[in-house]
Amino acid sequence: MNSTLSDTFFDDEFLYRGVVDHNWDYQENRPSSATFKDSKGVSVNREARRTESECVLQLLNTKAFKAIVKISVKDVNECNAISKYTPIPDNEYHSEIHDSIDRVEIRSGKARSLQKKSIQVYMQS
Amino acid sequence: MPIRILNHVSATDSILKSVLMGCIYIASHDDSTKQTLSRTSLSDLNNLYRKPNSTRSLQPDVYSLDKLKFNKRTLSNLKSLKKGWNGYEAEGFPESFILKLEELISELEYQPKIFPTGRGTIQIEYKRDNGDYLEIELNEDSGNVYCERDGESLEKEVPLNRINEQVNEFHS
Repeated sequence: MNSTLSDTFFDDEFLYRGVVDHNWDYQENRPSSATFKDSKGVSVNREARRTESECVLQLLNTKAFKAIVKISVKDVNECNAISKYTPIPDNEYHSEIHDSIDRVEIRSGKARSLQKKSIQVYMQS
Repeated sequence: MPIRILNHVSATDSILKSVLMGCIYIASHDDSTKQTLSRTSLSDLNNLYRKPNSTRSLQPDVYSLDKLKFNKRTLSNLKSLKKGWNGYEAEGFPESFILKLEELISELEYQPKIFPTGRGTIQIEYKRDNGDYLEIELNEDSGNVYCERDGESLEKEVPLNRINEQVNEFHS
């Protein structure tokens, strides 16, 4: 797909992911690490120099998420995971977090690290 | 099989155990709540009251009927999840898998928190007051265990019939 965005992420760029009610830990008031377990890479939307409101609204337009979290590309690297820009026809900001260069599916330890480093930016009232 | 309530109970005992014909009859001293109680064998009773991690212990984080009921409802609700339930590409869960997990959950001494994942697995989680953390990502055949304890972490795969053992070990 043709996109104007670079394949390379900015160091300070954030990645946004929606959290549904089933994955919200009400006791800890944070998402479960299950949020970061997907079969084809953890789908996220890259910030790409947009405002946080724009990033949040884009996700809310797809689903009424319970919450939205963000994690920096730098923190993804520190979790020993990798960020990959993978635009799709109806979403040029679509990206994925993979376990490593050789493995797509995130291991439990890394999903847990992503959970710890993620920052909540929106909560359904 | 219900039994007759014993009529003479010591006022100082909250539970009276008496042995009759190789079986234990359990009766309450509370006359206001006379109700028939089920009989159980001597070996069953020993298991109930002597085993340290017995599901019948009074520790608040151990087996709770309310928590089990809640978890069974949670699992039951997962049956209705359709493709895309997480806002991404997650698929629903086969009913047979949910039923298997309902059975597994019923056997657990410690009731977990339950979360579905976007890759067809269901995750159970525990956290202790000291910060220790256990999660087990369950599929049809096995569980992927991830544990944080004493500042260290480990990850391993175990068969479903050893899940309870892992959970009890974490809580020991």
